[in-house]
Amino acid sequence: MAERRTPYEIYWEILVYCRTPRGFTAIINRCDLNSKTGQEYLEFLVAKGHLARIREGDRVSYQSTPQAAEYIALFSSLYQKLFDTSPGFRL
Amino acid sequence: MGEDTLSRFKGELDSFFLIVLLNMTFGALAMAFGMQYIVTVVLGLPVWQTNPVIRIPAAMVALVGFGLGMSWILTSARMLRGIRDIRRESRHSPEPVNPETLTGWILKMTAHYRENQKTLRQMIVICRLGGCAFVMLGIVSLLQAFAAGSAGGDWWSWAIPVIAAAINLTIGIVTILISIGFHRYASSWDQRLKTAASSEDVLQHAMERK
Repeated sequence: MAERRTPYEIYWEILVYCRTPRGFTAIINRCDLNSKTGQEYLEFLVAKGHLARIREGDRVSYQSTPQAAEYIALFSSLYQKLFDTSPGFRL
Repeated sequence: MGEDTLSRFKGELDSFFLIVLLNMTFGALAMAFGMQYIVTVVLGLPVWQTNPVIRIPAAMVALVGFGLGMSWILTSARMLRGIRDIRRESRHSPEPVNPETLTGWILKMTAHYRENQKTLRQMIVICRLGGCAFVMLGIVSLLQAFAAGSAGGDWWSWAIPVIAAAINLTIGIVTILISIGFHRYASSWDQRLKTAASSEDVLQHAMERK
């Protein structure tokens, strides 16, 4: 079965949700990911500098960096264009 | 971009919602009429005083219509459930809509299409087959009406088949139109998925940029 979302779509969802600091469980619940893939996505985004890992005592949260804003804006513009450029469907 | 994209998105969502709802309604009607016809023919009730040579193939067509109607309703209900949530969210969102909220809805619709792509293709085929079955049933009813009229019986002996023909032809034609609607929706989304896939290089580049 084809995947519902591409990795780029998942990155966008995580980055938008993490505009304010979020914990791991909240992220995987909101973005509908399992723990393993959720961890992989977060590690990838931290490694690329789009997400910052914040440690406060025992708590770890994630927040989008200013660098992520560029990706978020580009993604939003590309996906909104899908409705501007392709022939739409109307009854 | 924003407002225009939003109105296009909402318009498309409403159109698709309506077409799935219509599909479900006509699926239920198709199943009900199919079932009614089978019961009439199998039990041999003398509803229409017609030749068995006409009634047997009509019953076979009705049986096919009934089976198709059943799968038709189930698939429509599944599809409707997915878009109902997106539609509800977009209708109750305060204006002006944040561009990211709109992108989130587009993403949900994209995921919904990917999830239902195969079902939608099956539904196009089912609708076409079901539509053709009902058109054929309508034609059979018209032949019955013609035969009854030629035999010179009472007015109701030809009026009832005419009413049945009108119902069957309406269901058949609307169903074929629904399949055309689904086909146009699928073509539109296939194009979008292609465009989205071709944008992945740009997104990859933005992701790697430091």
